[in-house]
Amino acid sequence: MNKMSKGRLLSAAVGVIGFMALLLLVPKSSRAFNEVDYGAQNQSSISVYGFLRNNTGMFLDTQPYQENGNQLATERTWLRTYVDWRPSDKLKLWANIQFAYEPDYDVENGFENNPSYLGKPVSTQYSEYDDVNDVLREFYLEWTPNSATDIKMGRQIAIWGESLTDQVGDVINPIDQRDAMAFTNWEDSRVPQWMIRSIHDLSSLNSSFEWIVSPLLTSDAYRVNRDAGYAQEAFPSDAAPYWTPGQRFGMYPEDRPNVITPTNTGNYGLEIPSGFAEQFPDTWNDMRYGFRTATYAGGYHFGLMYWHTQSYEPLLKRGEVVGFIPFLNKNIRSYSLVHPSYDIYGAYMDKQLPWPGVIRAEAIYSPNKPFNTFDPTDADALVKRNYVKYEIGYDLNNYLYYQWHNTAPFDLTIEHVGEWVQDNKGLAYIIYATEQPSYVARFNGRLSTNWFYDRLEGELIVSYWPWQHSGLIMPDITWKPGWMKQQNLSIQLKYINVYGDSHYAGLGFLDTKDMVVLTTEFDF
Amino acid sequence: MNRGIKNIGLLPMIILVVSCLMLSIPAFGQDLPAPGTTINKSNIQQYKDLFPPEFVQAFTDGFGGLTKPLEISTIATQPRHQLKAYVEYSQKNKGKYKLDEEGYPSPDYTRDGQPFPDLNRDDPQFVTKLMWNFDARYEYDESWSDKRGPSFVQRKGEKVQWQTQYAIDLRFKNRMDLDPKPFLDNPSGLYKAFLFQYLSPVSLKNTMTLTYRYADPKKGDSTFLYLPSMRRVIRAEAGQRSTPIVSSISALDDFGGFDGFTADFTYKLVKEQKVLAVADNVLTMDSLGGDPSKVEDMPIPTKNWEVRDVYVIDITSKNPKYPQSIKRIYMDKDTMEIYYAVAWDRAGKLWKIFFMDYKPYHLKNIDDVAEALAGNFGVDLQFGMTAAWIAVYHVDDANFTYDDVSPASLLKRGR
Repeated sequence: MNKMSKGRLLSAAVGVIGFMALLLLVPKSSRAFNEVDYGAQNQSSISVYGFLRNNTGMFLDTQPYQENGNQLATERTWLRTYVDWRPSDKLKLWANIQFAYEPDYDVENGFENNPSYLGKPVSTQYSEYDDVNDVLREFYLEWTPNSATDIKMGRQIAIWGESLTDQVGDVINPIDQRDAMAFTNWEDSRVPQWMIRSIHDLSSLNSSFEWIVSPLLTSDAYRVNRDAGYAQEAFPSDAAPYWTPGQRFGMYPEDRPNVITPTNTGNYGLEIPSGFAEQFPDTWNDMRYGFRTATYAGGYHFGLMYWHTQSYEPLLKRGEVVGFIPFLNKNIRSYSLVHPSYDIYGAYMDKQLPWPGVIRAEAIYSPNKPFNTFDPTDADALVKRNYVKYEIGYDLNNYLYYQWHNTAPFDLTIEHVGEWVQDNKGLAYIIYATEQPSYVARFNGRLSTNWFYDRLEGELIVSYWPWQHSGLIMPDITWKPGWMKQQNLSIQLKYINVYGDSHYAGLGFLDTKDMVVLTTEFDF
Repeated sequence: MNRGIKNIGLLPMIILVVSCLMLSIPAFGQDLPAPGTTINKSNIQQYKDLFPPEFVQAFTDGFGGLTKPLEISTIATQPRHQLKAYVEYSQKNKGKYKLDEEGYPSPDYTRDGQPFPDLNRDDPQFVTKLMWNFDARYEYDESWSDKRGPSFVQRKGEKVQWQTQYAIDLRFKNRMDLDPKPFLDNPSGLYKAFLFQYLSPVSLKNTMTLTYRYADPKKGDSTFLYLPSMRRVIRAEAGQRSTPIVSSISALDDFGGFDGFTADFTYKLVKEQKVLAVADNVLTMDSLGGDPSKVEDMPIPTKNWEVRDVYVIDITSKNPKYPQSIKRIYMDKDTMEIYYAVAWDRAGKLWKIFFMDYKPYHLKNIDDVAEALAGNFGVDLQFGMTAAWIAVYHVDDANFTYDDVSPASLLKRGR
């Protein structure tokens, strides 16, 4: 039995145990659900609300291999509508419908020649109106047979984890990273998936048990992270390298000469790729599933989690040599982008401290997290490693409250996130010819307050990675004009500064993305 | 003889005069209005001693123009009392508890009934024990407010802004009306749970907080927060209850006039007096037309003001950093509900004034009535903003259980 088979067997066993636990958790008796949101006094059983939002952002730098000097970073206008229909106290139908318009971006001129260009006209690359995966973001039916059980079936978003500034146990939904720079919140960048999700209260144990089964029913590109293409050589050549720009939020390219990348291709590499066809997870064996518990005892909130999934970020799989170019004296080799399966085990806790503040912590462990390796002797350039990611956070809310600012406190969150991988030798950091360190730490912080009883809101987010001294600084201020009777209008100005000693390590791969973003939102 | 007659006649006269003088004192200080009296800017000086001095400006200039000058009408004082069944239930604690050095009822008080049912006015620890009884007063077994229960804020010179919320207030101990009673089983040793869900504006919709107060009075609260943008339940700071909640001038400690941890404060009985207050509120959303968006002026009850006897108590936090140097409350002697709360900042400057109104309701399974908070009005005089809330209550009709207020329930209620 090979390693993969063992992994599948383990995953199946966990799934069976979870299912058996579910059967045991089915209540022996039911009680009328006391959902009273739509009580007798309120005959309305449907509510429709949403927002119209515009993001206008300007880069403060030109982008790598950009063909002109245009610095418009984003001009996205969205219309999002939520429909919440409750035909009875046991049923709820939820829909999240979205349309978005974005213009052509001059900063991406020439991207059509980039190897990662998928053929969709640039003018419709980001606008969302013609694909059900974009327009019908969420659509699920929620059934509440009794107050201890809740089942949601449909396309939805599920968020686990404790971290507020990073993703540790938050592993359920892929991320749309095409414009997932810090000005978009994570809620908007998550890619909803079809799933059955259920939460069972176990009152006698002061616990709850949540399980998710997610068959891969979305279109291919929506099953994994949607990444922005980065600048690449269109025709690798020692003599005349021709670089094409990437998408606006593509990471910095690996453009150092004479470095060995995981694939030994491109960028003056040793081989020429025949292409990078992406193989999306698409079988029943790729179905994602897992569970999460939550228990409250002794002032602690804690639980365990398990999730079987795929690597949402694509990895390059090395294939066969399929040709030879004599004048370059290089092989042509087939490559593909793959999303190997792996398992995630996790635990988390939080607690109100005896002194001011709340502590939060979580950790995940994967025995088989896939990485790319530089090792040219590896058959497919894919390896699996033991991997741990953890977070320790501290929140100090409502404590920093001063007479000179007595309409609101300052709230502070500090988080430390660490990643550890066993046997890091030869592992690639994202796309770079940089070895993934065995341990990477980062420190994130958020300070926020408001003025004039929520008329103005301000926050400062900072992140620092000791690795190559990289990080980001992101202050913003939001104004809610007083003439709107329900604070329907908000205008936010945000500055994003990303820094780092190297483009190819830490957070430095985004250090050309400094920008100013104005977000205007009207809620209805 | 004559001298004797004179002497004999003088004594009754002296007694009569002194008696008249004594009886007339209230009339000098507290001119009591007859039922049906209208009190407004024109005659407020006549009745000013029936209000906290700081509240009188509600009549004279609407707190410096923040509201319209108040005009109210009075009714006769009605007999009101705490729920008799609960008073009787608390009798089991007679002589059972004393205050320990930290100010807690000892030994081992677990908020099962009022700890000092036989409290005597002459007790040197009267006011502190009174506040422990206040902490354990009966309000209801459960209540919930439907989505029509709005709150309002208005800054000086601006329109009234409003928001709606849904709330559950569930009591696990001292239940008098609904089975199971007096205890509702729960795995966390809870005294009560309060779930608060914003329904509007859209920017706050489905933001929820869940606060637990434990039966053990020495155990701090727990608070959980659900943010729709994060779609998960996170633990929130529960130790600090003195900062304003979102879009309000009130802090958690300001709810109902005072909702602080009893042992965290010291108390001083300032005086006893009569005040005009609203114990049978008729200002409802229905009376305002039912649509909060149509409310043009901050809603303050103007009818059914009646004379009530109150204790005036100064509350000071033991924490020197507490933002309010003193909060003065006016507590009904009969119902133990607070009608007014006036707060000064740490510099001693007048800061906030809160006015609470109540509504009696008939219990479902007991032939008696209890008082429930029906609304409140507050003003931050330093900043220049008013806030109000009108309850759209449902009491003892849902049979909530722990499942309805468990942290996991936030996930279910969230989108």
